[in-house]
Amino acid sequence: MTQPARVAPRAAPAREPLRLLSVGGPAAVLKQVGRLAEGEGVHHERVPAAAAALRALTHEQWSAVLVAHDSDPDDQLEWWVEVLSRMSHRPRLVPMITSPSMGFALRAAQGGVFDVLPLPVNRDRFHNLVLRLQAAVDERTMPLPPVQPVALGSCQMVSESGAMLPVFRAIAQAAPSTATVLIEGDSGTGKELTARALHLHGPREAGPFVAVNCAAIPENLLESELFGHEKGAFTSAVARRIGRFERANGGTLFLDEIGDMSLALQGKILRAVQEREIERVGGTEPIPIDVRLIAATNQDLKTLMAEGRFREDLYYRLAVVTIKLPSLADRGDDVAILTAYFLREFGERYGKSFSGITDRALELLARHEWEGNVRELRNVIERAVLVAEGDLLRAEHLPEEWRTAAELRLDSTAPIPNLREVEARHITRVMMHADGQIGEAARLLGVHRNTLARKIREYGV
Amino acid sequence: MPDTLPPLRVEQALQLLPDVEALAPLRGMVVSSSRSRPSTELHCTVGKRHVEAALIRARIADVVADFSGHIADLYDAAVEALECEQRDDSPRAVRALLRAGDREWRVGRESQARVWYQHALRIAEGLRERGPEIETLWHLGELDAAWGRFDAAARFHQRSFALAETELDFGSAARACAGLGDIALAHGTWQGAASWFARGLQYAAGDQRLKGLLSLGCGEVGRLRGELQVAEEWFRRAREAFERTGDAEGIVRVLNAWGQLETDRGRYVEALASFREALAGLRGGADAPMLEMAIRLNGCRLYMAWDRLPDAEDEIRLAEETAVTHNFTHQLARVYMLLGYVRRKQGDEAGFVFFEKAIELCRGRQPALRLEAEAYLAYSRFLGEMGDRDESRAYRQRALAITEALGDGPILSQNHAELDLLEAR
Repeated sequence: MTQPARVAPRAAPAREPLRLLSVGGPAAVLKQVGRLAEGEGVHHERVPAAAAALRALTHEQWSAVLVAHDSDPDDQLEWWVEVLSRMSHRPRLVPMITSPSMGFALRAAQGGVFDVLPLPVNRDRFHNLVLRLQAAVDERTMPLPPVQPVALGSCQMVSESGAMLPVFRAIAQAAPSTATVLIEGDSGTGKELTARALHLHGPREAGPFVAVNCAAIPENLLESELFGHEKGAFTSAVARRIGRFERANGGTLFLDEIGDMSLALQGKILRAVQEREIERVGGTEPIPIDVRLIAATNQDLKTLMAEGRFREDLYYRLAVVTIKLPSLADRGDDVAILTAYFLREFGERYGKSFSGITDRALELLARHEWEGNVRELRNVIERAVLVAEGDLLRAEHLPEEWRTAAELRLDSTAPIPNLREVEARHITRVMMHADGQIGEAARLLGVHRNTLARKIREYGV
Repeated sequence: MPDTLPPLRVEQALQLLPDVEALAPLRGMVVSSSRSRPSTELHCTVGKRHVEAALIRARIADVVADFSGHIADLYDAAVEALECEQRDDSPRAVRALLRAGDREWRVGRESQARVWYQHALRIAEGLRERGPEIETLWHLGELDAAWGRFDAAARFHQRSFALAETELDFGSAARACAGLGDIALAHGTWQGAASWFARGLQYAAGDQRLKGLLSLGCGEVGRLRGELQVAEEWFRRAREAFERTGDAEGIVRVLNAWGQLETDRGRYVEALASFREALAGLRGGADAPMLEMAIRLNGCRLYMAWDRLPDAEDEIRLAEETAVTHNFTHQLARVYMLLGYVRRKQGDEAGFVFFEKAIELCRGRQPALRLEAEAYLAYSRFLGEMGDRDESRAYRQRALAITEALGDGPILSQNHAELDLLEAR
């Protein structure tokens, strides 16, 4: 039995109207879903069982199928995933189930299910579902842009942005010399890649390229890591260690995050650069070294110098040539190009192939504030590739919190929440982020654990 | 002005504070109140986390209150012991001393807890009633086992078991069997573990909680032996026992074990569901950060087996937060060993920082020799893979020297087997 269709009054003219099909379940549930759908102004029909649903699915196009699960929910889920994957227009599947178990939710996610709706259906949850469905239905597919990496030796850099031109020019100019280079740029902008490009494009290409992240190595270890140590030089020196300076002999030593280094160690680096020899910790013999030094920092070394935290003489030794890397935000359309590049890279690694990206996914990527720059984008795409089913990168493959924020923006007709509601929602979000650990959530929110526990009780979060 | 001051790194802060007993809580707070660096800092360890002096100052009152509360509890227990002794009630005096030891253990002061327990044992040994001695021996056994001193732990549990059997105290006998089974498990002697758990079950008849724990142990033996069907049946029984007493933490333990079972079966979605359910169970119930750590580390192993390294790393970082917040030094060392392993799988040479940090943590105020040996072994594999054969060999030898001194041959071979297994995956 079907119910009359309604046209969505709330949908913007350009939007494709939502069409929901409910299947099975007690009459009360279907009635409730019908009422909620009506309230949302979306087209909704209901059928009593799978056979009728199949008929409806064959004859008409649906945005989503809401299936009420009773006995054997796992078997039913598997069947519906299989059936809908064969439909040419691929309607989204939304199982409705009383108290879904964690296992069911995860199996659903694994099967590419759009969402799981717990019964009885909650009005806010349904509203949220409609918003997300509308956003998903409105997605349009675009082919992946072609990527032509700039090849510097065996090192590939991907960009079509004018902001990267001075970088490429500087690499081309500085690489053939043996001059010391200082690379400046925020975390994740590609400082090591640039250093590698300088090495591979220069006269020491055949020699080793040794990178050290000075910020990552515990301060008490950094000296022995850079200069090496003799066996027994200190308690944990179980064997002779060849330091990074020695390992880089005849090649390039890249010192990343050099601003994090102590003044004492800065002095030792300066001496090594000036005298072209080092001494292992616990050693007595000076060891000659022949390395090209490239340093990088995400801090303003001039400010550190003014504060007395960075040696001036070392700065001028390092900054013979300076290359400043732009942040991803300043690289215009590079987000799209890099996304395509990483999709292909990770697709290959995880045995998947991508032919396109939806406009909404691209919009979310373009809007995101990339504090972690290219490295953050790379991580986001790797995760997206892991969860993606099919050959498209969709918005639903991107982090949930991005979509939630975007949906809140979309939902301009929603009533303005009061402060309590906003607080309750924010607490919910932070609790989810902290995996339900009150202590961690309290720390993130900057309130005492007891205060948070009280608010959780008060708001029924 | 203070807003513009750059935060300190934990390693800088700790270097500044002398390592004296009076400052131990403050040093602990420096670590537990530290903030992680942005997620882009791939090689961040606890020493590189940020700490604000202003925040520490604002929390001094809390730390001092906690510290004085701790001292007050210890004094209270000690004076109660004196009062009991005056009333000629030595068994209660022993219980008061045990309570003080428990209090010390709860805040991670294992060596101090041991002093309280040993003191209690000296008094208990002089009593005609054997109950306090059985109880004290069990506490010492549990503490030494948690600390990785398995030989000493086994001796305490065996004495506790023998006394309990003589006294027909079946509950205590079953409890000692559970302890002995756990030690045998840690030693990798499956048959011995199975025997102890089975024996404990004979004594545990009416005690559902003990039954649950012992069944869980039997299941764990089955799982480690690769008898997954057998393990499943034991886990089911354990769950039933815990459900009968409404023991939420016990149920979480079963879910954690079930997750490992599903991981072994290669049913990763089911395993993940179990771990998530276990964590959800913890949320609603008792504050059990150590159990939470165990679940998260198992979750991380699952993701590694699944080849989902970014998710594995997320899970480890969450475990790191828990370990840092609660000052679980040894657990933090485990976290870094796993992070080092993930980096090794990615061929990241800079991953050595995690092993170095793990070794440093093992050698802290509460040294953990067995764990240190594990860290050396894992580091040795890392270095070997990165082509540094000399150092790799040196660390392996150091690991062997420690395990031989501890009489831990089986553990070492088990470690080898575990690492081989991980590599095979």
